[in-house]
Amino acid sequence: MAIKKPGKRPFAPWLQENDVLNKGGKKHGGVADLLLTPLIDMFVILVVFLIMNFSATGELVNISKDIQLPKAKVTSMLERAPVIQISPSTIAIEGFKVGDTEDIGKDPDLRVPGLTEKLQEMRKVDEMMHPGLPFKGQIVINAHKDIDFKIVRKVMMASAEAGYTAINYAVLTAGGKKAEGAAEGG
Amino acid sequence: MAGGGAPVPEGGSGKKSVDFQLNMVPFIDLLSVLISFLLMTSVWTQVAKIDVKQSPNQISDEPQQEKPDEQKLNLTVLIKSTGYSVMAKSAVVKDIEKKGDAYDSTVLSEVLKQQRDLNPSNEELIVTCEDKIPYQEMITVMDIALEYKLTGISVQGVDAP
Repeated sequence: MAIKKPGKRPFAPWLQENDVLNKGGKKHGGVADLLLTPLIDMFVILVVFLIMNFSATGELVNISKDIQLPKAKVTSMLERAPVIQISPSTIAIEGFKVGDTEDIGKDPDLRVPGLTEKLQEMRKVDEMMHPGLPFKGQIVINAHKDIDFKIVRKVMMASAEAGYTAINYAVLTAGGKKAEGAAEGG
Repeated sequence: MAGGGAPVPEGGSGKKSVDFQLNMVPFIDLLSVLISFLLMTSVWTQVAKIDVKQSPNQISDEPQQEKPDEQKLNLTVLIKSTGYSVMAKSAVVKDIEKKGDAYDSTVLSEVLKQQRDLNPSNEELIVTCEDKIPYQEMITVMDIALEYKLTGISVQGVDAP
């Protein structure tokens, strides 16, 4: 078999005459035109999508892995307030554990003294930080969807004892609508 | 490059070309910065709230004094382990049994709509739950109530019989 000179070879005979393979063909300039229109289209779609999802308030509630929030359609915007987290294993306020959910659930007493004390401390701090302003008494309950109502009831009672009477239940929005003049807390 | 900028010169004829290429590079830069910023600040889980009034019997175990107001509707949804029970003026309007393991929220929705149409001035609803009811069921009832503008929701607990 004859030895051939190395170089580009067409995979099909009809490409034999192509300029790319033809060394003596028309010479191209060094600058290639890049088509930017699809890139800009994609960028614009991406920007529109991200702006639609944009939330100016940011993430007010940190959802831990073991808490699955219930879903609701008619909701209102969450505001900054102390967060009570009720997971299947623990009850915590602003990250501080106040007890085990199971133990609190079994306790026949409807009060949760540990939680009430912690909330009273937080109330004092809040009143010191905002002197002259009325105490709003807002609290966010961030509970797992399958938790028994008894636990939520106990937490609500503890909150009420400490003066937090405006209870906000954290929920995931299920693609619904915003509540018009949603219930006034308190 | 395609985003070339200035007008393309038309040889030596002296006439200005009508073919103008817009400089796209700053536009792409802006979009890139915007996308980076939005990606970094985006919140993927949309958490919202449902707010309620704290009913007095949750604060105290002492029996509360009923207001002698007979005109008050006292629209109540009792969530039991067997289903819903809708009450108005202390009388049962409708008992809604469970469909298998699931609560029949469609029928509850119809009943609440009916009650709302009958009493358009009433915006209050009392949601009463048995202790063993899952939290999601309470939220579902509140969600249905808010759909029909029953915004004055209060929550009460009741011991299972």
